[in-house]
Amino acid sequence: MRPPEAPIRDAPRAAVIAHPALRRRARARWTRGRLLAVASGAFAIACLGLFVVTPLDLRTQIALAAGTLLLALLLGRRRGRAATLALVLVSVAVTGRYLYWRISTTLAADWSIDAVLGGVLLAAEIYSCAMLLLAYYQSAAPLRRRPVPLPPDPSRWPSVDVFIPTYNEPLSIVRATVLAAAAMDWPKDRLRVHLLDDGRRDSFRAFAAEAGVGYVTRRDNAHAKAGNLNHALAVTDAQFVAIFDCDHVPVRSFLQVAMGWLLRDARLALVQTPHHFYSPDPYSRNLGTAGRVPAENELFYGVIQPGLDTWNASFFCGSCAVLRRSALEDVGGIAVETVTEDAHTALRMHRRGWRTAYLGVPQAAGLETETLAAHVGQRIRWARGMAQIFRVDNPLLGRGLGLSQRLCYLGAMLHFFSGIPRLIFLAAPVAYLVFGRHVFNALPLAAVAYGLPHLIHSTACNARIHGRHRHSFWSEVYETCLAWYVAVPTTVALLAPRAGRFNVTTKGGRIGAPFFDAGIARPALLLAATNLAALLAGVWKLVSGGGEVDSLAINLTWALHNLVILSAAIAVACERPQARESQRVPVRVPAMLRFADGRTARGETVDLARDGASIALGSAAPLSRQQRVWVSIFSFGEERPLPAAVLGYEGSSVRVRFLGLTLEEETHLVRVLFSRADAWIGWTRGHRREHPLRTLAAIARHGAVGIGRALALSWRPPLALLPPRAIRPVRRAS
Amino acid sequence: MAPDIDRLLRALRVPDFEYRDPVVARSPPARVAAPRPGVLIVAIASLLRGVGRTMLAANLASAVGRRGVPAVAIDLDPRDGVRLHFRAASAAAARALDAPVQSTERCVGYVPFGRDPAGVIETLAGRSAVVFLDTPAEPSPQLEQALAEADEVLVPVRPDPSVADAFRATEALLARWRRPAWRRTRARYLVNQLDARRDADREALATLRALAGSRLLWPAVQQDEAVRAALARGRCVHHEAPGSQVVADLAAIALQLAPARARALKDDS
Repeated sequence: MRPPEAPIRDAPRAAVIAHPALRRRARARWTRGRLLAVASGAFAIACLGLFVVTPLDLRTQIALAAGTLLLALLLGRRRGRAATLALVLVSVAVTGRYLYWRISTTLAADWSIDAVLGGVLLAAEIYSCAMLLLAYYQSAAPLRRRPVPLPPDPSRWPSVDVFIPTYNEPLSIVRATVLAAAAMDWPKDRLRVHLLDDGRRDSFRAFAAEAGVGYVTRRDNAHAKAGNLNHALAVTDAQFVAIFDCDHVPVRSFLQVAMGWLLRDARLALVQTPHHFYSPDPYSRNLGTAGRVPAENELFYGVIQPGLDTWNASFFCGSCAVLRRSALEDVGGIAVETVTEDAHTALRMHRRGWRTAYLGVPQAAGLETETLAAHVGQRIRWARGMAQIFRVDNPLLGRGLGLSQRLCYLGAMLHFFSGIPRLIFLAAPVAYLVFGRHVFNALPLAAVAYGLPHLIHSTACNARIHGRHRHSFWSEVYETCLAWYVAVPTTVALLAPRAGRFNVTTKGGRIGAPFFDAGIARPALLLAATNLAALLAGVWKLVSGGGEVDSLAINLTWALHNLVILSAAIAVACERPQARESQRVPVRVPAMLRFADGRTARGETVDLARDGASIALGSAAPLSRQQRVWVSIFSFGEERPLPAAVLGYEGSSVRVRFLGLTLEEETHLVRVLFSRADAWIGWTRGHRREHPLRTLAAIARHGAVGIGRALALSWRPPLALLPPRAIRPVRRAS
Repeated sequence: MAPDIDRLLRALRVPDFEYRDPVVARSPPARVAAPRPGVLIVAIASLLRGVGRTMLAANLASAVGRRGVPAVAIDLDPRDGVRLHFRAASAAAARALDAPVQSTERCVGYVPFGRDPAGVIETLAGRSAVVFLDTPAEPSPQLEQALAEADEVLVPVRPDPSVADAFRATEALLARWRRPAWRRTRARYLVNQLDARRDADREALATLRALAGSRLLWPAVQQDEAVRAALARGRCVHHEAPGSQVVADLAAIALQLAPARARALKDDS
């Protein structure tokens, strides 16, 4: 019996509704609520439908468009989720109205060239509208999960196997990951780190023995990374499995932060944390936007994964995650049928009724791909894998998924089919400007009255939802860079899902000199030339009076927009040199230099890397080049001076290079550099909210500068020595 | 709690999140000095020679003085070493026999051996100040007197293999001479002349940390040639090498001794 004075609020829900009367009442309330929700939902959909299909004459449509824009302006001034949802609703209504008008009135019902081209364009538009709606659905109410505390008694914490799969990456990259993983704050008797070497390299075996971690290898490399992980699962037995790609270095708090949810919820299969990168991605490095424009992957980890988490559809991203062994065993291990084994594994877990969680606290950091070509190669693999899953394990079909999960997976997969629609949009204005084809069978003014509100609302809505995680129009730049390259593999994977092999993403290399990768930019160059020709043809028609002025104006604007986006995409192919193979990380912690004469100097680190550091001293010290010093970095734990040589100095700031560190010293450096619990916490700090038009102007500026760079770099033949490889990145020793 | 965990927990905003940090807490409880106005008397005592008693008395006085808190180093050691640290900086002569010799540094004075320390402390009564007593190594009336008068006992230790013996001997001495007045305060240990490049130093530090726990003051004072050079020129190390680590270490120790004093100083005025 419960004591009567206990507040009923604290009782478990089951206990409260155990009483028959209470249960009846609860059921009645639930039914009433459900009915009310269904009724209001039906009413809203009916209103929306009415709004979408009501025919209006052109003048009234213009007034309506102005009205919705005014409404959006007023709503946009309010903060909060309710206003965002209202804006989304307005955007959905306007887009629906546009699409209905487009389908019902602008299609020519014959097989003329105009009609066929118009149909192709319409298909692309339907795709992007569908993606817009799915994206709205995904991000309707992002779940900002916070960590859950662990049981206070560490002896009740579970055992964890840490898997670090590697295939052909250099040992210098893998070392930091292994040392930092072994240094995570978890009871030592329940933390087992395993280096899974598919390359079967003796140096790796020796290093694992030296570092005191497990070394697992196998005879063949069947099923690449997925097979490697499955093999390791078979020879280990801890309750939980943490997986890190070999360049993703975890901070020491990773497990204590991520494990809480798994202990609270026994049906939770995995907790995914964001992939943070401490080196800039090819876009921000080549355009020089690092720190000002959000990184390319931030939208996914900042908006999309929390959005998916709301619908219990956040998925495994292959690294920086903790998985429950029983859940993995329940779905037969990591999925091996596709090249994106991570998302496929999560899909299978969802089908079997497991839950997943996304925790947006960056607790590991890795290296971005260092060239655009490598980035494109990685995305081709993702796109092909998602298309494969779409074919072999379609989320719309099969058992076990809820409707919202199906929609979320559909969105995640369809996203990678954006290649062909993007190419269509980039080529479309040519049809009218060059060939005089009317792909849009409507009055130009009507197209503006219906189409422009759709564009404005969706842009503004996305700007609001994406906030500081993705600036407007940048998605178009990213898609444009990839469009040609993902178009073919996704189509092939749709037709023949079993074809193709797993390609490993190259990381940690070094670009020697700046060069323009004309190979990778070829599709963008071709499209840019086409659009430029269309622009010139259009201007000539305008001057000579050879076309309708309003149609010309629309198409010229479109071509100009395409040119801006394409020029930025070309600019990304101007590869900038990566200064050092081991990336310097800005770290500000107290440090000390000890000189050979026994004196010391107090300072603070400015940046740190695996091979050196910059230190700002409190006052000028007597320094000379190549001088031998010892650097102490006071981050946490015991002090361990690192031998170093002075590379250079200026005033009171000094750059040093570490000399021949022992394993203990290297472990200390890795801990200082990568293990600090707060190392990557401020990952979105410094990004400001943006204004779409100003962003477009900035993209145009980047594009113009980039084209100039591309021309300058192409003019100098010696730089062609560096192979301008298209898809397959060349491994460089590092 | 290490600072990185602090910042992580602040960012997580989970109030009941308890982090298990195996990294030894680096900073002791912030309050070393009792937060009451008046004179704080710190006896710097050790049974071993050459651990840096005199250097710490003079330089800690200088470091506290730079924080704007009046500080006096009183020499109870017949070798009269404190004087040497202020040779270059002291005014020509004491104004009165019962007042500390003013150094040219703001708020810093010293009293050479032979004066009556009680009289000097009398003159400070009612003000917020920190007095450092430099004591002789061998058991003597001066040492006994210093331990009897002190609010805090600071024991400098060199990080060498004898650290455990030094710790036990000091504890035994303090237990023998225990006075009712210091029932609350016990000796705090301070590692001096640390050079972490040496394995022996790191081991000794770990040993002492295990023995003394939170009574080990942090940071340790680094070994630095600038200290000897400063002594040779008769001045405090701050004037010799202001950018050196040893000055930063002394300042951090002074901050732990003087914050309460600084607050009291404000209350006085």
